[in-house]
Amino acid sequence: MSTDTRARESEGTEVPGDLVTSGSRPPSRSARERLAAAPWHGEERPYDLLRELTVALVVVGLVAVGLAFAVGSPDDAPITLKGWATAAPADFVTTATAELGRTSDTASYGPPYSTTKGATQTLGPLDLQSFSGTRYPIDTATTFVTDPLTRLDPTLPALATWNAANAGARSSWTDAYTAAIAKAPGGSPPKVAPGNYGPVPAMTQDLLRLARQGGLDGTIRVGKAFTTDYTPTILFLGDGSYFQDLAASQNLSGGQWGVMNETGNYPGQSWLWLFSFWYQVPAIGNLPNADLVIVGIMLVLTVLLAIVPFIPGLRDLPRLIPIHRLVWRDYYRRR
Amino acid sequence: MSTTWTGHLREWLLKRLPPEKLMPETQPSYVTSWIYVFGMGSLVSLVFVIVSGVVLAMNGPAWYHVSGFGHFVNSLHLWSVELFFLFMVVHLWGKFWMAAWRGHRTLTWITGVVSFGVSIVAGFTGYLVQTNFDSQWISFEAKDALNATGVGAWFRVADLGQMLLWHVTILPLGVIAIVAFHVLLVRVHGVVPPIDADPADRQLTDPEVLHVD
Amino acid sequence: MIHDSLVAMLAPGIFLTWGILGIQLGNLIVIASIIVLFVLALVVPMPTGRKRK
Repeated sequence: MSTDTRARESEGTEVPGDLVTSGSRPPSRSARERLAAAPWHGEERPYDLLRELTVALVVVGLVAVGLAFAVGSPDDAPITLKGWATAAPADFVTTATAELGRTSDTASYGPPYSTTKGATQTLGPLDLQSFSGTRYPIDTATTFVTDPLTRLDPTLPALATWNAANAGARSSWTDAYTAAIAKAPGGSPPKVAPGNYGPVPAMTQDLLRLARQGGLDGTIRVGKAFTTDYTPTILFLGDGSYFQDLAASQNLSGGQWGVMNETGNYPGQSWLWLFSFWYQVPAIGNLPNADLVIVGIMLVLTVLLAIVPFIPGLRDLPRLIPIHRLVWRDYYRRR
Repeated sequence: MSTTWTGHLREWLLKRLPPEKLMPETQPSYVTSWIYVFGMGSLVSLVFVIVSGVVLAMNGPAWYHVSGFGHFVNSLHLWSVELFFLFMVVHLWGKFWMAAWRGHRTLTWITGVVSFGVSIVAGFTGYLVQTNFDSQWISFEAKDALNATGVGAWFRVADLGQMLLWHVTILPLGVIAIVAFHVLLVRVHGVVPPIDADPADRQLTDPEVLHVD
Repeated sequence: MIHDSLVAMLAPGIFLTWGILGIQLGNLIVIASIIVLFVLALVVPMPTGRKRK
């Protein structure tokens, strides 16, 4: 009978110093593999599964309840369009102008909101963003400004002027007003220099007034027959600086490891550390297709983690760095 | 020997997982390390996540903003989630350094990683339905990753109704199903023996009989 | 530039940075706890209470 000493790739390197006990064959790799796969017929100790579960429930329960009492949880009030318009009217008007002029981030986002060419995140020939198509079309001028104003009062004179004008006139008004606000003292729209801005100042002031009265929050979401969908609100808020500045002040921006952070000192989602990490590396985080690349990296890494048992080298690390000798020190000592 | 589908299934199940294996009263003597409690810790944390989540669900998503008890239940939900991931990560690290996939336990390992992934998605949707500033910001940022991969118009992170339904029905069902499968696999295959455990070891050739204290 | 906010918000948390690495205090405590618990689980002996035959 030949000794079974095939070197099996799956078990990594031979561990030296194996003892041969009397009356048995030399220990072999495949015998150990069979042992790992077979039901354990060796020494056992008593075990009360239900009692352990109960003890665990009590211990973890005490810790969780204790933390809930002692530390609590964050709950920062949501930003409403009313709140934005009241706290930062200049930013609100600037953003509304950009929406009218279709120069905001949302207007040039590409699918699913717009058909802007070249806006999608691609990876070579892969263009998943276009693949979905413009399934959620948003015309920023109508969704964020003219539709709400029309619902408020279809007879507004500024609206009539806007509706009668052609595309060229409209964009020259919005461009001029945007530039004028930037030059105004403190960036304040009421202090802009006189110029040809058409109905844009009046429209944005009407929208501001509507927002401050609380009427815009609801009406901005009407028209697409959705009632729980806050996408227009979030996109409009995000096109401005107020919302983004608040997030940055709480270290929630992408370049601040924001993905894993929470407001205040509360712990966030620390398990997202690696997803967040790639955004901090300028070579990756500053890419125009950063989101697509990073999602791809994380999908690949997750699959690799799942198939560790099949990856030579990686699966041998536990053998090479024998932390397991601590776990099973009692077994090894008494074998 | 059975001839019906039901009978065949019952026989197969009982063969794979007889009651003594599902609810044992002994465990191998090598299971003596604190590292082994973290699987149970994760499971128990999940119980608290679900229980606190059910209370939040019963009262609707706006309740915890206006109720003191609601705020406490929300805090409990947050901290049991933090504990859930904390214990799960220690459990993962332990199982990696123990090479716990050995002995046909590859599927146990894979279902563990999938549990991790599905839990992360479940937690993500939870953050999206907080109806506060944090959820607004997270939905604003997350839309970019989902839009870049072409699914953002379908999986709308700023749609409270859709995200809440995913968070409260689809994902808990998914987490529970995969975790249950994972735990059953552990019961079927048993806890993995030590690396380099050998048939010639004394624990196998001359086992002591250990008494309950 | 932070605009005057009428929104009551938590004071920004403590955020520690080293180069591109930055971590919030809450997360740091959680991650440190994970590492500490892992090490303790490996080194702290478990009470076995065995009676030998």
